Formats: sequence, C-alpha cells, structure tokens
Amino acid sequence: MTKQYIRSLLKNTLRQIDKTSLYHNTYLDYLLETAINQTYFEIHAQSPMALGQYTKRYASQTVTLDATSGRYQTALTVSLVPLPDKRGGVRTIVAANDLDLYFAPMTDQELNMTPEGTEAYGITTTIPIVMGFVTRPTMIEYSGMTAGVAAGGVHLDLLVAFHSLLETDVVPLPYGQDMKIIADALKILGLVPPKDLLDNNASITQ
Amino acid sequence: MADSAARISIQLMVRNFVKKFKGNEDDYFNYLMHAQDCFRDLNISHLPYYTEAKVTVTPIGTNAGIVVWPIDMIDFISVGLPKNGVFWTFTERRDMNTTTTGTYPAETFTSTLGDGETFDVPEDGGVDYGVRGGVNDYYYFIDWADRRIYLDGDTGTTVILRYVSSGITSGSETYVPVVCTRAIDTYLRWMEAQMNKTTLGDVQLRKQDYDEALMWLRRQQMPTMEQFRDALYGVTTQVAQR
Repeated sequence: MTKQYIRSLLKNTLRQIDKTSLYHNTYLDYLLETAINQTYFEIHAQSPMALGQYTKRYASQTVTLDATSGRYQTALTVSLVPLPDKRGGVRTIVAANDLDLYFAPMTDQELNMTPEGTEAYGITTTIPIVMGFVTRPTMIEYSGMTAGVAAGGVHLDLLVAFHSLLETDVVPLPYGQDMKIIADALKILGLVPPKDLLDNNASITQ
Repeated sequence: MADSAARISIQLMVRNFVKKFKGNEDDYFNYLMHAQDCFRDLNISHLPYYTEAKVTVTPIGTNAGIVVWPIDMIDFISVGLPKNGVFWTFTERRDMNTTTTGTYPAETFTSTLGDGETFDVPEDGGVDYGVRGGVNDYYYFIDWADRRIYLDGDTGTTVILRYVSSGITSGSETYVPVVCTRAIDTYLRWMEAQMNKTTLGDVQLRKQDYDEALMWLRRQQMPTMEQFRDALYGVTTQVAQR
C-alpha cells in the first residue's frame, strides 16, 4: 500500500463530520507515523536484524569529507525512524566499489574514542574490510573511511519516517499489523472532540 | 556456509560469532577488541607460532649495530644468521657496552668511551662454537625499554630475528587459524557475560568453557605419532641387526 492510500484509508475510516472530512493530511501523517513507529519498535524488540524488509533503498549516495570534523559523511535527505539501537534508521550500508566491506554501527562516543588512520582498532589496514558508522539525525558519519571507498559512494537501506516518504512510495507494513496501525491512529483521534458542535447539519466553514 | 580455509580474518570471525550466537550487532566493535586481546594472548601463551623476519642492521661503530624491533614483536626468541644450512644463533652478553647518550635513531656514540667497539675476544669462525675452546663470533644485548637489540660481530646488513608476534597485522589483513575459533568464541561468550553484567555463576560457567577450549587447543598442537617416534629414534643407539 502506498503512503497516500494508507492515509486515505484512515481518513475515510473516520467519522464523517462533514462532507469533505476536514482532517489535515499532515496531521494524519504524523498520527500514522506514530502508530507505524510503534510497530517497528515492537518488531525490533523481537528481532533487531529483521527490519531490512521495511527499508527503502537510496542508491549511490555521496560520501564527502567534512573539513570541520575531518571525517567522511553522507548527508541524509529524509528523516529516519530513530530505533533504539546503534544503527537507528540506517539498517544497511553497502560500499558501491567494495561490496565485501562491512559497516558496523557505533555510537558517537565510541567514534570519539576510536583513532583514525591505519592503526585504528589495531587491526584495520590501508584497505580495511570493516568500517564504523554513526547515525546522526541529518547525516551518517564514518570511521575508517578511505578516499577510494568514498569516491564510489554508498547504497543505503533506510527505515524512513512516514512523513518523509513520497506519496507514491509503498509502505511495507508488517504482515498482520495493518489493522493495528489504523486502530492505534483511530484511538488517538478518538480523544479529539469534533471541532464543530453546531447542530445545523451544514458543512464546517473554516 | 562452511569455509574450508584453514585461516580466517579476525574481523570475519567476529561477524560469524555474532551470527552464530544471535549476538547484538551493536556490540561488534566491542567483540572485535576482545577477540584481538584473546588472539594476542593465544599467541603469547598457547600457540607455538613464531615469526621469522629478516631485519636490517643499522651500523654503529665497527662490526656493531642495532636492530629495531618490529612493531608487532611481543617477545624475543632468538637472533642469528643462516650458516651451513642451519640457523646460527647469537649469544647474549649482558655486559655489552651499548650507548651512553641519545635515543634511536639520533644515537650519539662516544668512541673514546668505547661505544660501538667490537669485543676483544678470540674468535674462531663461529662454526666451531660449542666445541672445547670455541667461542661465538656474534653477540647481542636486548634493550627492552627501547625495543631494540645491540649486535656485535660482523653480521652484515641483515640478520634474522625470531620472535613472538602479537598476531595482529597492521599493514595487511589479520588472519587467525581456524583452530582458534572455539577458543575465541568461548572467550567472547565470557566477555559478553562480563559486558552485560550477568550473574556470577554465568560468568564462571563461560570462563570454564574458555578454559576447556584452551586445553583442547593445546592438546591439538601436541606432536604427532611420527614426531614422537622420530624423537625416540633420535636418542636411541642402534646396533647392527644380526
């Protein structure tokens, strides 16, 4: 189901308080995002390594060297689901010109404690087979990245926040959880009283 | 999934550990550091491996020189030269005069104080060393603090250094013999309990697993039947069969 269809499903499930059902789409998106994130979290709690099927691939992303920090990084163009592990919403990174390279997640503090250069971790080499990365809200920061790998760019599998998806993006909802997500969103909406309490049987004019 | 190779990179071994035991991938780098420590310990105390390197002698004075240790050298085994098809080892002289000032490579030698002078001992070509009256041509003194060896004798520009390596390679990929897999896996399981602060009983159980893996590893490296038989023959006086 695409993003717009999920929103439409919720919107048309709501009690029709007027002919046009004046619930703002952005509001509904964030309601759905809250419900979907909760479902992702529950799946993550059961099996942290099984979230790949809910990701969206962003191929050939640029890796740049930040002059300020002296570290390589990739700017994120979307908001992520901030899952409570080190990967967060960045579930997989694949180097375009070295498919065997393994990107292991680390925290920002671990990154700070890790020396850069060929002696990093004491076991990396000038041609490393393991690199570290830190997921930040707007970027991915790398540890042990080389100019050669950076030049080829990276492919990212991201768990994208609902509000950042395109209207036509398919939202891979966990099987059997569709009903729960809509029900959770409706549960929140149930607390919001109708804005128009006039008993004149006319459309709301706002 | 099985790998027939007899060695595996330490990074891949840790990835396999996380997969095999459904470990937390978040702890990959923590496990990697523990695996590195474990492999270093195995190299020092439990594996028979040693590294042989041709190292450059930096001349100081006449027939004397310094060898700087390789970065991965943990313990010294021997230093020597190939001679008549065998490895000819030098003799340690703890009274060797080394240097008075400076730190390598900016050594300062004072020839008037005897720095860099060759020993004034009778030399007889080395090959006779071991027989009555024979002395070695070559001597060494280990400077542990500064990670170098002083040499005496006309050793040339290159000598052979045998040493215990940390096993960790910085210039290329670090490989681990797969025979160490069980020991490293059990060590990581032990460290996992330490990191996660589990119960004392759990920690002890995992340590016991590691100790058993170590015993298994040491047994695996015992001499073969043929090596035992050869050792027996080597010390047995054989007589003509009648």
